[in-house]
Amino acid sequence: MKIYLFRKTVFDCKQATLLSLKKEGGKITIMERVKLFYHLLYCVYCRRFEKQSSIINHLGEGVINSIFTDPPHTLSDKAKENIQQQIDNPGQ
Amino acid sequence: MNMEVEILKPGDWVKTYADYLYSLALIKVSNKETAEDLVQETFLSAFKAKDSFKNGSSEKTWLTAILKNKIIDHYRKKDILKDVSSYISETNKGFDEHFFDTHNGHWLMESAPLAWKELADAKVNLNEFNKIIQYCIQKMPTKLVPVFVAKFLDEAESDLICKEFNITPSNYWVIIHRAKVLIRSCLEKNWFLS
Repeated sequence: MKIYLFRKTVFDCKQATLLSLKKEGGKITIMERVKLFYHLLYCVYCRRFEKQSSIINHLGEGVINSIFTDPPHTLSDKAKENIQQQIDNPGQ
Repeated sequence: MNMEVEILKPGDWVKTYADYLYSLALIKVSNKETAEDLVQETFLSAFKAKDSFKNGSSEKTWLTAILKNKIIDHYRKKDILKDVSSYISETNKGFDEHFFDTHNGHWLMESAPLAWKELADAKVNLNEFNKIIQYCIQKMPTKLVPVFVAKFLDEAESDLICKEFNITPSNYWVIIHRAKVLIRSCLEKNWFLS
């Protein structure tokens, strides 16, 4: 029964991709690591998923800085004036 | 020039940070009025607390952290993550049917990850990536956004996110998984292969 369950879950890509993300986050158990290892031996799609996930994380590191240097949205002038006024004349 | 001492210049805050904080807030809350209110509250709280600013920190990091806390309070007040367990079970089938064979959990052929060939030699256009990733986050179901963004943009640890948003680790991983599957697919459709 245990072996049957192992084989059944080992070939599940939905579960394997979740395990890849747990691995990425350093939260994978040994048993899960073994399952994932066997799955990835056989599954090219999940190998791609794991690799692409790490590419996305790597590229994502620059997003906050790019929002700072080139903000995609602009706060309305009215809101800006309002805040500026409250900073320039506190307590009024 | 002494780089360690950064002096706050509240008079320049709006000019320097308003659009940045507003854009960041808008990605996280997907609502213009709410984002505007949050930015306003951030500046005013920062101004009131300006004496507690520590040298060695940067003005930008400090303001970003204040905004981040305002946004978490906002999520809490709005109960964005309150019924996350029932949300997950209600939408499980729809998610599965889109990406995985519901009988054996294999990728559906039309959703299975393709090889990203061009990436290896091509110089990644980061500007383009940043625009598309923001578009993909906007398209994501609103229940997934807070947790995904905390992990992906703020790079917070999973334990901290579970605590701040009061969700179980198991729900955390389901949310991260769905968000990543969606983001990967969205990027593939809109960027790497286009």
